[in-house]
Amino acid sequence: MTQTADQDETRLHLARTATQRSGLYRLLAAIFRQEPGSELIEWLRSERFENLLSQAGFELGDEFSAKATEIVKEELAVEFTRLFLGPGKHISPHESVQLPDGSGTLWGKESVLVKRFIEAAGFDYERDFNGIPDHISVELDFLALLTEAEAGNWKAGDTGSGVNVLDWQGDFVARHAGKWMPGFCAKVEKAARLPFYRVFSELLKTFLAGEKEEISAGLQTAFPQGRDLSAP
Amino acid sequence: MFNRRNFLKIGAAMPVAALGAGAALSYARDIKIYPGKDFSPKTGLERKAIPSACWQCVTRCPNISYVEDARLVKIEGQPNSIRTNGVMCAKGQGGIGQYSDPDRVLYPMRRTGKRGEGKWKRVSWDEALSEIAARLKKLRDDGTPEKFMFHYGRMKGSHSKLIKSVFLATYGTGTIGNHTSICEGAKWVGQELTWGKHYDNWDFDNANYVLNFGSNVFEAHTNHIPVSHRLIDRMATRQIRLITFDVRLSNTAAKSHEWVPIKSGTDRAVVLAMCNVIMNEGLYKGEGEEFLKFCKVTPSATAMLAEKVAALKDHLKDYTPQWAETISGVAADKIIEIARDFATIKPACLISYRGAVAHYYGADTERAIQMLASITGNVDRPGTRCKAVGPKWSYPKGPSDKPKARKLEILNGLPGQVKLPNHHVSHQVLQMIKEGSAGRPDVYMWYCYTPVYANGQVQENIDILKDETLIPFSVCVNPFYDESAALADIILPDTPYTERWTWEDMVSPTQTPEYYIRQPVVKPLGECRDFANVCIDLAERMGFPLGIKSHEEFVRQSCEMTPEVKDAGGFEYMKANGVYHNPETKPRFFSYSVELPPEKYQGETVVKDPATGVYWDWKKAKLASAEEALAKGYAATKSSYKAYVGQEINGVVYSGFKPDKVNKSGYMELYSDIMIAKDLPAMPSWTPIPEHAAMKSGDLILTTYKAATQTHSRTINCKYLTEIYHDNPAWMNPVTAAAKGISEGDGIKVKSEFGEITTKVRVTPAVAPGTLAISHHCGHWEYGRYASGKLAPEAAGSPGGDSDVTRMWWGGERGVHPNWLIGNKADPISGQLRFMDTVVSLAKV
Repeated sequence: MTQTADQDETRLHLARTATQRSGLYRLLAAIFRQEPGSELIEWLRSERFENLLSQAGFELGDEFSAKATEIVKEELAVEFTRLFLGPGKHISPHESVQLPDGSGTLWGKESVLVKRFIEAAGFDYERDFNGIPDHISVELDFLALLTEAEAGNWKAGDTGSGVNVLDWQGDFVARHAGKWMPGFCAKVEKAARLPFYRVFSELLKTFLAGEKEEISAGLQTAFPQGRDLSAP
Repeated sequence: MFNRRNFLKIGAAMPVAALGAGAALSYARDIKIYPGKDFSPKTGLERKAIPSACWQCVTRCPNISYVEDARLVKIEGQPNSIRTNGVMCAKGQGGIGQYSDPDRVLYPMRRTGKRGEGKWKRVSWDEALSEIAARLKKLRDDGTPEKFMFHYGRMKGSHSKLIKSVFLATYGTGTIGNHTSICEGAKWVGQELTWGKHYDNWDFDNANYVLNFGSNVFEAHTNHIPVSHRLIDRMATRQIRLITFDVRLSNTAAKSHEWVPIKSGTDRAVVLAMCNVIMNEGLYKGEGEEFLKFCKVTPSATAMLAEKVAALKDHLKDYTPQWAETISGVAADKIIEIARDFATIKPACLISYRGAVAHYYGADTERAIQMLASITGNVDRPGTRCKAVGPKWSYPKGPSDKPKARKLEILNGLPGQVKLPNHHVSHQVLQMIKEGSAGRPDVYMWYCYTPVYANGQVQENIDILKDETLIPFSVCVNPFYDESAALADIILPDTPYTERWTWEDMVSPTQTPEYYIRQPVVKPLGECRDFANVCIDLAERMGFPLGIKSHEEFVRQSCEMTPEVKDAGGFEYMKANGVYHNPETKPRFFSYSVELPPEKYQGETVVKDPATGVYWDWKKAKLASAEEALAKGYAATKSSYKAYVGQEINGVVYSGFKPDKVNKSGYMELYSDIMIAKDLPAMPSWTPIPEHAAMKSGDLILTTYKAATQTHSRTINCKYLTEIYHDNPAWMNPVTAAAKGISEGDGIKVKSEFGEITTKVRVTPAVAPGTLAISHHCGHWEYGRYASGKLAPEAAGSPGGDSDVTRMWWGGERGVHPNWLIGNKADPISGQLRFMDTVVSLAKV
C-alpha cells in the first residue's frame, strides 16, 4: 500500500474507534441521566444489544428480558431514585460529592472546574439545562461529544484537530472522570438491587479503565514517530 | 543575650521625619474596608454580591450572598441594615449548607411502597401537581374545602401573603395549622391579654439595666442578632447590667453580670415577689405611678391611682420574697436586691422567653412580667420592652371573590383543654386527627414544618402520620428528606432560601421600620420550585387563577405598591440594595399615650362603651346601629377588638394599648375580665405545675434549650453548623449526680410517661440541681448525612464513603432527641407546648 493509503486506513481506524467510544459514552450518559423509558428498555432487550453485551462479558439477567416493559420501567424508576436521587441509597452522581478528598458538597468547587473545562473546550450548557454541571451524565455526554468530534476530524482528514480533541479527552479523563467515576461505580455495584445499574456501572468502570491506554494509543497511531512539538 | 526590650528601643529612636522621604507608600488616612464586597482568594476578582435575606431562623436577617462561577460561596451580614448593622450569626453564615447539602431533594417524588417504607420514584411536576390539583379540586367542588389541611412551620413575609392570604383564601380552606404553640404562643397570649397585639421589642440601645427571665438571647431568639449584638455592645461600652434567671447556665447567663439559678417553672413566683417588694417599698412611685394611669388593675375601668395601688398591694400581699424562695429556690434577699435594682435603675428592660413561659400557665407568667414592667414604668419607652415596629408592605390581594373559609375544628387542641387558643394548639393537630370527633382532612399538606420531629410524643406523631385510615393523602413541601418527609405520599422539592423571592417584614430593634427582600442568589437546583409559584400553578389547574404571574412578580408589585419603597426606587432599588429604611423616621415609643383628636372618636359610627371606656366603631364590628352596640356592649360583641378606636382615661381619649385577638380594653390590663370569664385568675397569680407537685423522690425535671449554632429543627443538615454542634449529652448538677451515683460520661436511660431515650451524662454545675437539661437539634434519624449519618433510610452505617462523609470526624455522634420524652401537653391558657414541665426518672446503663 502507498503511504497515503496507509494514512487513510489509520484515520479510518481511528474514526471507527472514536465512533464506537462515542456511542458507548452516549449510552452510558443516557443510562445515568434519568430513569430509562420504554424505548430504551426495549432496545436494551433487543437480541442485537444482548449479543453485543454478552460478547463484552456482561449480562442484564433473565428477569430484565422476561418481564413486561412497563414492569421493568417501574422497577428501574424506583431503583434509579433509590440509587441516584435519594431518598434511598443515594449515591449522588456528582463529581463534587464523590471526588475522593473533594469538597463533598453539591455544586462544589469541583463543579465549577468541570464547567470551566467544558466551556474552555468550546461547549456551552444548554440554556434550559437545570441540572448541576458535574452530573455524571454531563461528563459522559461531554466525552461523547469529544469522541464524536474526533471521529469527524479523522474522517475529514484533519489530523491536527483529531489529536487536539484526543488531548482534551485525555486531560478530562485524567483530571475528572477517571478520578471519581470508578469509585462511584464501585458504590453502585455494591448498592444496586437489580442487575441493571450494577452491570452498567461495571461496564463504565471497565470502559474508563481502558480509556487512558486507548487515548494514548490513538495519539501513538496518529503520530507513530512521536509528536512534533515544534509544530505550531 | 538578646534582649527584646532593647531591640524594640531601636524602633522608638528612629527619626520618623528623616525616614519618610522616598517611601513608596504613604499611610492611608483611613484603612479601607470593603463592606458588602468579597474577593476570590484564587483569582483576586471581586465576587458577585447579591443582597438577600437569611431564613435560617425567624429573625430573617438581611444578608449579602457572594457568588463566584455561578456558585454560592459565602454568606455575610448586610452592612446597610439598621437591624443587624452587618452582623450575622453562625447559623446565617452556615446557611450555605442549605444550598450545598448533597442530600437535597431535587425532584418531585412519589412513594411507591407502603407509607414510610422508603420506596420512592421520581415523578414530573406535571404528574405530581395533576394528582394534587385533582384531589383538591374535588374537595372544593364538593363544598368541603376544609378537608384540605395546610400546616406550615415557618411562613413569613410575602410567602405568607401569597400562600395563605391569596391562594388558600381563594381556595376556601381555613384548616390552616401553624407552629406557634411550639414556639412562643404563651408569650403572645400573655401580651394579648395585657397590652394587645403581641411581640415585644427590647430597646437595649437605651437601656441601663436588663432583667432576663428565661431568654437565651445571645444564642437564640426570635429577633436574635438585631437585639443580641446591641445588648453585648451596650454591656461592653456602657457597662449596662444584665441579670439572668435561668435553670441553666446558658451562654447568655454566662455573659450576664449575674446568673440566678432557679427551679424550672417558678419564674412567675419570683416575678410576683418582686412586684410585692416594689409595691410595699413604694418603688412604683415616679414612672411606675405615672404609668398606672394606663393600667387596668381593678374591676372598674375608672379606678383612681390610690385604688389601683391598694388593689395591687392586696393582690400581691402573700407573694413575699420568703414565700418565693420556698417555691423557686432563689434566696429572698436576692429577690429583694434585684427588685430594688430593677425598679430604680432607669430605664430597665424586662425580657422573657420560653424558659419562663413554656410551662403550665405560662401565659400567666408573661402577664406577671408585664405587671413588673408596668409598676416600674418600664413599658414602651426608650430603654424598655416596647411595642414592636415593623414595615407595612402593601401587596396584591388576588381575586376579590374569595369564599368564606370553612375549617375543621382540629386546630385548637383537644376538647376543653385550652381556654384562649388565640394562635392554635398545632402540636395537638395529629392527636385531633386521630381522635376524629371534629372530622379529618382528606389531604394533609405540610410546608417548612416537621410534625414528627418538632412536636412532643414523637412515636405517636409517626404512628398517626403513617396511618392511611387517618390521613388518606399527604404531601410534604420540603427541600430535604427529613423524618416527616419520609412519611409523605408526595414530596414537592421546595427551594431553599438561597433560591427564592420574598419581601420581608421582621421587627426592628430601633423602633423604626426596615424594608428588605430576599432574592435568588443562584438558579434553583434540579427541579426545585418556590412553593409560592407552585400555589399559583395549582390555582390555575383548579380553575381559579390568582392573577399573579409569579412570586417574583408579586414581590415586584408589592415594592411598587408600598409608598416608602416605591419612593426609594421600588423593585429595582430593592434588588440592588436589599434593604431600605427612611432615615427621617423617628423611633416609635409611647404608642399608647397619643391623645386622639375628637374627629377620630366622634364619628357617626363610633360609640363609647360605658363599662370599659373604650371607643369603638359599631359598623366595623358588623353591628346595625349605635343602639345595638350600646345594648350589647363592647366586651360581649364578637371580635369587637377589630373595631377599637381609643380608650378614655380620666376624660381624655388616648390611643391606648390597642387590642388584638381578644376584646380587651385599651388599658394595659393587669386585671382581666377575659381571664375571669374563662375561670382563670383575674390578675397574675401563682399556680403550681401539677406534674412538679406530684414528683416522686429521685425524679428530675427535664428542661430543653437551643445552642447558638443550630435552630430547633431546620439547620442540622448544614455541615459547618453540625460539625460545631452535633451531640447533646444530658447536663446534670454534681449534687444530683452524686446522689444518684452517676459520673461524667455515664450512660443513662431517661424515662417519662411518654417514652424513653438512652444518652450520656455531662456532670456540670451549670444546671440547677434536680434538673436534667437536654438540647434540641440532635438525634435525627433522617435529614441526610450530616444530621443522621444516613444518606437515606436504608443506608444506615457507612453511607458509601463519599468524601465528605469520611471527613465527619464526629463519626456516630448524633446526640438524642428529647421530644421522645415530652408530651404534647398544652398550657391551659394559651395552648403553648409545655416543653419544660416534663418529669423524668433515670437509671444508669
